[in-house]
Amino acid sequence: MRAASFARRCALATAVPVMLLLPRLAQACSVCSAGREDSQSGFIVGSILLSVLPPAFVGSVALWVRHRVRKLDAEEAAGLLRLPERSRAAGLRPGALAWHASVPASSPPRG
Amino acid sequence: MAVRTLPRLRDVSAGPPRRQIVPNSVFAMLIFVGTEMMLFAGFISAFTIMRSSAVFWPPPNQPRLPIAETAFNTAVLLASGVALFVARRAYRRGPDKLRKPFLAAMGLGALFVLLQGREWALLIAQGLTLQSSALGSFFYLIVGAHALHAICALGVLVYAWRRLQHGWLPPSVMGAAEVFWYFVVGIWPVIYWRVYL
Repeated sequence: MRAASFARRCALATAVPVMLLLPRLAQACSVCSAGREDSQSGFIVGSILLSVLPPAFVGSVALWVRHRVRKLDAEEAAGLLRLPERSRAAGLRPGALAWHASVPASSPPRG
Repeated sequence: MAVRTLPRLRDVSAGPPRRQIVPNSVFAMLIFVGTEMMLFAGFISAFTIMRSSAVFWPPPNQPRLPIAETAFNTAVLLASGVALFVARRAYRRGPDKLRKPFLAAMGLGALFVLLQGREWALLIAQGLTLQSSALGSFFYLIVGAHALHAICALGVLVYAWRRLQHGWLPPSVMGAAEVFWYFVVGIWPVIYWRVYL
């Protein structure tokens, strides 16, 4: 058991430097033109796009939510938010108070 | 001997109303848009690799993509996004001021879909099909996926319009429709840049 684990670790320790030193082997796959010079720019663009996009999107949403929290805090402090009773009277859920604070006052109730 | 008691659970329903920073529908739409963004990123990434490894590009004996006409389509779609942004600003002032820019956004979006359909018909008539070349396969896959999203987003806009016609457009519906339409508008220039140019 120990020998098998040791062998796996040795294989991993060998494979990682080989892939780092020989990137063309690492780029090889069965369905695309492996390691060709002219396809490397495509691999680079694809890698950058697929790596950057998820954190950029999640980060953008997080920043927007933080911006909304700060804006609502400021509106609450300035007394611009509607009272919960008014929201309830308009047929809205109490939890929707902050979002519906930006609704025009003339909006008719739902239902 | 002291008796240890379990801490009492807090009754959350008795507390003050919880602040909702983002409505559920808008947050769900954001998650959906995130997944669709990764789908398009995968398509565009695969297309870029295929294009960069091709010996001849565009493939010989295949029609060229209409760059100028699609640039006009792009302008139409961007104008639609601007109209929806104006509608959002008008939304705070009252439903009556919202109608015109909202209708303009829907009309421009529908015009974009119609012009894209016309472009597809011309390209198919010229011989660019799904099986004709790698360009055709990727073109119809990527642009077709975008057209499908544009049609679905138009459906959401029409739904929001109907709610407005019935007298009350909730901010959550407006927000979800906006997120979807801005995604359709925002991803198109990237597709145009990578596929057409």
